[in-house]
Amino acid sequence: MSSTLTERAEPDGAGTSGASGPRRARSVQVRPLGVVAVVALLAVVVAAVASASGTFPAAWRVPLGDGLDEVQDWVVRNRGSHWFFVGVLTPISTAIRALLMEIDAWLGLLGWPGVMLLIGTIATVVANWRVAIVSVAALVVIGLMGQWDDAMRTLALMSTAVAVALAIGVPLGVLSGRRPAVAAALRPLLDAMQTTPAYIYLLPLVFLFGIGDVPAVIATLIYALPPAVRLTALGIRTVPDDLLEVGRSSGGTSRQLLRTVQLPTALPSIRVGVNQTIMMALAMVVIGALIGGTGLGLGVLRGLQSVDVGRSLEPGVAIVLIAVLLDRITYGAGGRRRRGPAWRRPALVAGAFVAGLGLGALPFAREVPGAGILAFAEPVNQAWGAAESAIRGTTRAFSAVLLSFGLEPLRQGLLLIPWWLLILVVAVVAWRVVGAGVATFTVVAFGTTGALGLWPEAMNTASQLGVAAALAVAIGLPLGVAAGLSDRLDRALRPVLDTLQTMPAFVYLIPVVALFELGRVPGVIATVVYAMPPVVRLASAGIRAVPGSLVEAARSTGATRWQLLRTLQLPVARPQILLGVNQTIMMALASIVIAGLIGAGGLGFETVLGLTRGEVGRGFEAGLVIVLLGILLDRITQALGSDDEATRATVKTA
Amino acid sequence: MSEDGRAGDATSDAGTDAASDGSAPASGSNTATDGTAPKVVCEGLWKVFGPKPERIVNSSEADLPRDELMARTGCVAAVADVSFEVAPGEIFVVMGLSGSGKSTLVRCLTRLIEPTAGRIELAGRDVLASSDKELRDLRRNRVSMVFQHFGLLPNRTVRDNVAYGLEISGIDRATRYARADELIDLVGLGGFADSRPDELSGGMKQRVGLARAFANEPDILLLDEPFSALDPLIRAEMQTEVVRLQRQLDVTMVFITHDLREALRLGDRIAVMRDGRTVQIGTAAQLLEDPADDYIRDFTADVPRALVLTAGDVAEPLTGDGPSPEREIPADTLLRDCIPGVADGSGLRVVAEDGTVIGALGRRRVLDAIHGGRPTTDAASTARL
Amino acid sequence: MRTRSRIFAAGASLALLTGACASGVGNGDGEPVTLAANPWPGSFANVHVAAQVMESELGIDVDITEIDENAQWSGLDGGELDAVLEVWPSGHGDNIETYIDDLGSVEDLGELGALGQIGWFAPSYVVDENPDMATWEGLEGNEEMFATAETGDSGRFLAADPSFVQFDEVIIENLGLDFEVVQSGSEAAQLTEVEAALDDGEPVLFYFYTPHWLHAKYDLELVELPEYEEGCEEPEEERTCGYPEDVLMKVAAADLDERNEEAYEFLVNFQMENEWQDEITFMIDEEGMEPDEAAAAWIEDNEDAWSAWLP
Repeated sequence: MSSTLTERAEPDGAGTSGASGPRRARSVQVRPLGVVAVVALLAVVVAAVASASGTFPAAWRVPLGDGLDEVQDWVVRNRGSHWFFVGVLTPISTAIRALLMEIDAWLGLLGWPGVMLLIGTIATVVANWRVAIVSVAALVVIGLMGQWDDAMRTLALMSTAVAVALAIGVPLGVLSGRRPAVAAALRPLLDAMQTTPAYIYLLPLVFLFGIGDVPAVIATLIYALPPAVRLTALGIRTVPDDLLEVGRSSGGTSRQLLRTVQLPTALPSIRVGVNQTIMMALAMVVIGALIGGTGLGLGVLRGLQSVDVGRSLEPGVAIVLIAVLLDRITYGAGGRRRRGPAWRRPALVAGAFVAGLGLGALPFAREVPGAGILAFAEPVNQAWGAAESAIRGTTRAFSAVLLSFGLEPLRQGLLLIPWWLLILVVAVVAWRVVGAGVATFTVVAFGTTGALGLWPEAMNTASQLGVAAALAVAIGLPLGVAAGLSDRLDRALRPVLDTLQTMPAFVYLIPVVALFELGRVPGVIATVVYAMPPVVRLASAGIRAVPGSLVEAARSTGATRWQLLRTLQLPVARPQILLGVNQTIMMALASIVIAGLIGAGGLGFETVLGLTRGEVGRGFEAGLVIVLLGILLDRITQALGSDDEATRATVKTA
Repeated sequence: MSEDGRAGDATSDAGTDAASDGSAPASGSNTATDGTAPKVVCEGLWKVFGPKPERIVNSSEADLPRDELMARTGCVAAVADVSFEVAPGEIFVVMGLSGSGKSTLVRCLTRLIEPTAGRIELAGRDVLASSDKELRDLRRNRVSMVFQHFGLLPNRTVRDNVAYGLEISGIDRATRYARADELIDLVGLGGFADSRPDELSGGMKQRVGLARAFANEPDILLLDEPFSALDPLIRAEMQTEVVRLQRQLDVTMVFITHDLREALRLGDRIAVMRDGRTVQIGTAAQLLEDPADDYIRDFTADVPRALVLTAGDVAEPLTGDGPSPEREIPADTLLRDCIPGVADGSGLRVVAEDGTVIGALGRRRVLDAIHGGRPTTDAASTARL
Repeated sequence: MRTRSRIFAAGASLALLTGACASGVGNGDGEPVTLAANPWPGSFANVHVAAQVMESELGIDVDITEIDENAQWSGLDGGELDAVLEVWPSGHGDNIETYIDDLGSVEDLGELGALGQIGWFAPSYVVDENPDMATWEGLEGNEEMFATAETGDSGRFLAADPSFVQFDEVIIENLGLDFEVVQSGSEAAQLTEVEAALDDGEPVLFYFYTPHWLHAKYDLELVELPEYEEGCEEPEEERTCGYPEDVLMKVAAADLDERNEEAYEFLVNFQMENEWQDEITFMIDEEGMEPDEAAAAWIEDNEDAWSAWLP
């Protein structure tokens, strides 16, 4: 009792406003929210009694999308003349195009030897020579696969998007790290940017910025910006108070504090932000190709469109290699202590650049010698053809079982439950687990779903999401725990997980359809493949993080291995594991649209229509429901797990 | 190191002033002035956390126990009506358990935490009336701080950390590096100037913290539990070091600690805080010999007096009658070291460093002082059970 | 290198374009032309043939941009694209109305010369075994033959890529058939599924069209629906008739004739008959040639055909 009080009274350097401030503020806020939640629940019950029906009343349909279609129409008619397009968007688009062409031109001048020298040098300087070797090897493989030109285009697109994302994201992150009001205002926006399926804004981007690499860069930017903002803000926010006090007690101004304390101390976090921004940008490579973006993404898409597994696998592998290369370089950055004069590292890179230009001027620098000797499309296709017919019978039988005992009963069940009862149940769960605010949000989210006329689609998607997440956790959790206990398994799994997370899903769409029959099941399988890595990684990390002293203590009581796991390791690793589950669910949500591309129907399919049939409004409605569902699931599952924001933010993006 | 490093024997004027002031019977002496202007003045200082904090200041509610105050007003009075003065060159220790408000107090002094009410004067300047610029100026040039967890910027070398305050003040690189190197030598870290904090041990880190604090030649040094995070041996070493530096550089110190032994060892005077208020302010001897209340009494009960009190602390005034003892003993001798001298029943003459006789010390007096003035041996041993 | 020159050229053409807009001068002799390639082999065949003839015979630089069918209209309107050589009008009524009729920023270049037919297709081995199934009446009562795990007792009707306008759900309901329409989500997914069924000799009924390379690889039968007549699609919810024949068309940016008259005239003349397209797409999809190689091979053998397109 008194100990908690004294903790409050002793802010121990907790800034000027004191530690008790925020806590009090929240307890005051909860009351009105609670009232709102009660009113909302009552409204649901009244509505239920009034309508007395199972599915959401059609009369309450709100045609939100129609308004958007009108906006789209207006844009199409006015974009040549209106000041906003001519004066604002066109310059943005011109600037991005200029930057892209600049980077592209330099990559061209460097040629393959120059690029390898430059990237190898950067890797050595910011990470170490081992990373440099891996990077150059990856580039060699890309060259020998015959993907060099496309890879360089992708690199140029990514660099452009990442450069702009950092130029916007880091200052915004600093601002949001220093001013809680800015952070609060940005949070829903960043959430929406990360959960909105890209299919929704692709066509609007085409209307605003035309087709080609520029809108592809902007689409990438939208998706890749949030981690730059979030991790910068996190870094700034988690600068230890005593360091800030050092600055303040030395008489530093706010600007001096930023420059000498906050930014340098936040640098590791910002570096993770850069890493994550790059990874996110890579995830958009194929999506960008849907609106005229070029490079490896287009290659994947071409392979997909001509139903050619091998052809889409080649650029897919190149994307994975680029991801591994950039991940290792940016992850390794800062791991090494700087020695020697400060100018040495930039000088080395500059030197490599100049030397690279020299190499690039050599006659053989244009074409990679032996390009194509590692091309594997043909053998892969032959192997695939044989494997496919051999196992298709088995996989399709599995598919039928999953449908009739999992997906279909769940979907039917969800549709059978009266809509108001479902809202009520979820809202009560949200209330118990998180609080009144999220309970209110639940009612709003479900109400919106119904009002947009997407209730059946949402239930269909929910059933797939449930089955996919359950499968992913059921497979991933034991795997992760096992990897946490065995170094060998952990090491073996790591490259597999890296590949699963960076390989564009478009590459394995054809195989899953062929094996599991077009419909909901291939969507579920693709989702499991895509969404499993976080729970494996975090379960493994969680088990590993259990302090050795605790394990020793448990061992000394004579616990068996199983007892050790059950009574100690799993409970201690619980926050990490739950975080992994949260991440897996969020990833599953992100692949709803992918599932929509292979016959899963539901919200994903509706979203796809937004681009492919030009129905922006309809896509937006479905996308809105996905975003609401995503935020809701995130809040509930996050509340179940760790509430340590620092762990969450780092792992979320890891 | 040895226990002989106690700061009570400081030769500075303030030290003796404090000691003589402390010999007065009053337990609440909160001034240390003898005509020279105090370096630190803190008057009626309040810091209340919670909604509408002003209303708590000097109200009757402020006297409520903490949890009751919290329940009624939602407020916590971290610092309540604290007043004291620190003379130039004095080491003033603020001692209290965690939650007593001592860290908040020291942060209020330079307004790292904005006080709710009161008056603060540092080096003759009214801190609460200062503009932002004046406050920065004060922090840059007059007052430095040393932190419990060292507060070293991890990305900077030792030299850059020491020079940090000078950099903030806009001093050019050559000058501040020269000054930093001087201080690095002074704190005994020569050769480590290019190391990074994570390459140093805890004790070395805090030496960097001290060097940084001294770099701008401050009048006043605020130390917030500077040695709490260190091992006991290193802590003792650092205590000796801080006394050495204090003498060499002649600064006034406000030293926060939760360690009674440290307080007794370093403090010219000690303020004991509890629940945001000062319970007693006085010299080590006053705290031990004349505790203000049971809290202080219990608190100091386990202190090995023989290792803390000195001959000067407990000497009895020489009465006219009776022969003056033959043998002399310096006033700063620990009681432990007086025991052989009085064991045979004869007395000792206690003399200050300048040769003046302070008083006499007999076996009885020494034993009483070591015993701690408890009524009977039986009662004491019962209480222990 | 090919890709790089493309973006440079794209940048250059943008610069020229804005320059032309600013000065108001429309004479851009030899100005590069950007053609849209849609994601199906037929479209690639047209575009690569046209591009190679324009480059070699007329000296016009041609860029090819691969783009979604719907996004292309915005591209024509916005100046990033100059022409699209294969538009299926049945799926683009709205776009034709907006961009050609209302805005006037896109111009109809006339028929491509190929005819497209959308309809319901089934493998020949199914129709051979059940001759009744050559028409929709034959399907009635036999729906369960097409059932899969996904559809339970009902037959499965495999819908097309969502970018195509489809009325199958309405038609099925109004004809009283017991089929459940399964949305494919993409043409790739649909083709994969259809090929899996064909390889296994399973019955499958699906929305499809000609011309398409699939017909060269497998024997498929068009299942006869009630014949399309003018107006039979109105009102939509009572529709029972099948799909009309699509007269494939070419479109271009409305100012192309001012900017590059030669290219404009060539594209107006450009024709691609079904038979020619099938030849080229077969080379691409079954002989594994790249689209430009296939186009070159066709050009080599068919000078009579393409020399007629030159202005």
